[in-house]
Amino acid sequence: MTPVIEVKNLKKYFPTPHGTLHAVDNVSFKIEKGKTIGVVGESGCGKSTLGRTIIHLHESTGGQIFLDGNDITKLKGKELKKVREKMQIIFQDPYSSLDPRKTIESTIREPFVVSKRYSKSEIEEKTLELMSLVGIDERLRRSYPHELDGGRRQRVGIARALALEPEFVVCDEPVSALDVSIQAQVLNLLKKLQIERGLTYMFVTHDMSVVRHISDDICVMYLGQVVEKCEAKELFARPLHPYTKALLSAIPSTDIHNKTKREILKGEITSPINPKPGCRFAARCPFAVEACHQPQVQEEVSPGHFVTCCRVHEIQKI
Amino acid sequence: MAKEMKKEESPFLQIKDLVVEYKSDDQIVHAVNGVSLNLGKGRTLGLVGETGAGKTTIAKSIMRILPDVGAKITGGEIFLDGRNVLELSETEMRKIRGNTVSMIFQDPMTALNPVQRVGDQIAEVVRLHNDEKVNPEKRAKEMLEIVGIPAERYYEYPHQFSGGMKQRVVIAIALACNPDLLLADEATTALDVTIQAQVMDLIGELQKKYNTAMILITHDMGIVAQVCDDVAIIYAGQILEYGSKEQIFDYPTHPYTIGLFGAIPSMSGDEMWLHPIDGLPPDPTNLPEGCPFSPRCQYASDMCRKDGIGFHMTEDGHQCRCCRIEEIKKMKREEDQK
Amino acid sequence: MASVTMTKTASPKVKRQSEFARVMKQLSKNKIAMAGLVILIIECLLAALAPLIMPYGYAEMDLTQTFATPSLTHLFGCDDMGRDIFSRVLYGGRFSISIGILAVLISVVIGMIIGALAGYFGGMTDNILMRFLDIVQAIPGMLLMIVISAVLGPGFVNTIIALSVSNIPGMARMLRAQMMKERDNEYIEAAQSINCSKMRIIVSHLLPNCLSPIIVQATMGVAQTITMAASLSFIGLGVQPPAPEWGAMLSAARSFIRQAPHLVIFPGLAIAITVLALNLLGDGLRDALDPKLKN
Repeated sequence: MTPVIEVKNLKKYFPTPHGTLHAVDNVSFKIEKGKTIGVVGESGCGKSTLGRTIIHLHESTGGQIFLDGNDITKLKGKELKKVREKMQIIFQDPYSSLDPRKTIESTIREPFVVSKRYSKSEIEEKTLELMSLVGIDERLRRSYPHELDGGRRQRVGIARALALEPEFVVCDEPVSALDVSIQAQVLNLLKKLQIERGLTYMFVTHDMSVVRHISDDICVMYLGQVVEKCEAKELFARPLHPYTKALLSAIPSTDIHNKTKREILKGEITSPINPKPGCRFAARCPFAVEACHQPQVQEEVSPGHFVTCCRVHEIQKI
Repeated sequence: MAKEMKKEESPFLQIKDLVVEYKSDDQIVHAVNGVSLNLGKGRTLGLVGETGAGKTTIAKSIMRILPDVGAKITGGEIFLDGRNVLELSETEMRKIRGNTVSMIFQDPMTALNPVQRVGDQIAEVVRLHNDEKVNPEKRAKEMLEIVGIPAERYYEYPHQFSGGMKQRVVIAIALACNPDLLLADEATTALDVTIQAQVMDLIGELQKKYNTAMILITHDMGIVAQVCDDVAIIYAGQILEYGSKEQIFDYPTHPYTIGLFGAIPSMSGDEMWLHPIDGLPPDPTNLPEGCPFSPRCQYASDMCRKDGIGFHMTEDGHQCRCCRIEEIKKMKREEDQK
Repeated sequence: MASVTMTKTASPKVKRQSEFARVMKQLSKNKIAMAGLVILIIECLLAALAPLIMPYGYAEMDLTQTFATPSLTHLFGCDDMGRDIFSRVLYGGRFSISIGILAVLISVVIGMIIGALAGYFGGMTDNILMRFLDIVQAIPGMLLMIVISAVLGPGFVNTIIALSVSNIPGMARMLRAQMMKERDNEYIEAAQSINCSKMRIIVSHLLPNCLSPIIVQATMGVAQTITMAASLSFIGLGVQPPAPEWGAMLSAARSFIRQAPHLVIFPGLAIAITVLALNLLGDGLRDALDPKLKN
């Protein structure tokens, strides 16, 4: 089966006054239809940029993006507009992602209006249909975003993203601004929609428990690079890269009786501007040796489990 | 240990029936509605609740830094080391703030003055609260080292620091005068997990060293599990459940607490659906009668919609504001058997 | 599947009101701003109805009454040619207020177009437009106006053109800054991802969100423009006599300031009151439009 989305060696660099910022560096993965890939990492690791580059909100610097097997990397103009309808995004901040001066209804209606494919009555009907799909009460249609709570705003964002019936949706931290009880409502809604509409998700988050719940596969990113990539279960059961291990052990567990010794990383995240070749985690890695400062290659340690670390086998023994 | 202390003397911090309201235009926001707490020296209390539950308002009431316009403490007492904070004059209060009680705010990015040297900002607090024997600059450098920042960086400005380091500076400021009570309001929420772990560890260490009492405001159950001794679950300005960490985590009793735990995605399980709490938190300008959680509670009966639901002591020190505890327990047991 | 059904709990009463109604409600709480608004409305009405109210024609001369002091027949007295100052001030409001409003309107429209283009596209477009404005701004405002008026010649329309040109850079810069701030919001990215054209993003999303500071600036700008129009008339480049523009009246009366101060006082007061009322209203609008004060 052709994957819905495949990226090969995708790069996105930003010029800054201090040098080139390597936001996304040589990232490759594919996602099958109806599956979810989770992308985790800390702030500034390039996970949001990755999602935005795939759906062409940023222009890529290098590499290729395939949608349903077709190379869409260099598309422009009308053709780009056509594929863009198939790729949508749900944003992190339910406050800034809705136009504060537009009613809920006109925000949800806008994709239909812009696409110019529907008559007025069809648009009306479809808008109401979407509102009920994401669970927004019809009487809120003329409300403004500031009159709604975060959960409801996020539902409006979801409705807007699903209007043009996309195949692939980038969920950029869609629940991190929400309270747990509301977060669970929204996560369930996303999963329900995925099943009903056969959606493919790329789920960007820093919350490990959320990513564990929603993803089939997980990519762990550090400063623009994928350091580890495998099935969600496998990642939590057998993390191999030292960074993944540290990340997992840093999550405060709700289990109060089983206090495992936590590995606390020393130091700060280094800058992604003009990075040196070699493993970017080496500066904080407790296992770093001379060889880590050479360019690293991705290795398939076990079937489907990719790690970018030259000492992965030695570390396993330790 | 805490229980013994309660018997011997009144605890270091004691809040009795605190009521805080915000007035705006034509509405009254009932932010805090009768909260009572006790906290002994060296202990950590976690205040857990959703956005708008009134957690920050409680902390700000202790510091007496509620906004002048609109906010009003309309009832209750706050005793700090035996003195009623609410009756102190502003001059006396100024001596307490930063010295006896310190607060770490949510956003490290805005808590520092961008045009003042980092070290000077720490030294300023020291200068304000100590006699001349202490050299503020020396103390500030000492504090920087304590929070893991080299003293040479005293002369740098906040923009030269990363988010984690800024939050550590904020902590250094908060701890510079060895406060007896530290109020940490979502102190690590804006930080990445690996940095959050560093910062929480640091706070824990310093707390042990100086026997500081701490109120930790958070919505993250994981942090509560790692750090706190006692936990208070806050909802719509009321404490719904209160007890030691073990009591709350092992035997959550209030339907809201149970719901909160249920809504967190499990790190091990493979459940298809999460179990959200249906509905939304109530509008604080228009609270429901009786139990504030009753509109969302699957066990709610007519009894719950009447006012005056008190605390039920289920175990020593474990309190739960719910009038149907026994029935819910029974129903849960039956569910489990099925 | 029970867990995914959405409950329809009674949510807090969602009050809705249009943006305009909200701003008016906020504004109505501000007594001082309301006073400004009321004064302005009265002034506009008086100017509009001037021909009906005026006891004398604005150019009607009665040489027996030269320099007459205020009395019941001539409320504000008469000027050096025996023209009734009350009538002239009333009628002059038509020139002064309409010059103020029209000049600001023109500069807002042009400034907005330039600012929106520069702010949204950034880069080269921004550089070219801004450097052009820099050149305009490098010339002192008064000098620029004098040059334009001198080239075009004095008169009502030309005064408006001269005044609006000197106002454009300020408006453009303000909108540009506002656009750059709004542009980074996620709802703009969202609009892009649902294929909104650039035009639609600017007109339908960005402009409405950038408008509040412009409205405030424009209100204050009218006041400033009226004073500037007065200065132009004062040096003889604005509206020409016998049209009773307030500034022109001041300018004509300046030589008699010692013998007959009322010639200066009344048009001067008219300008001062209008400017004050506009400034008060502008201040109030600034507060009312501030979203942080919402609810």
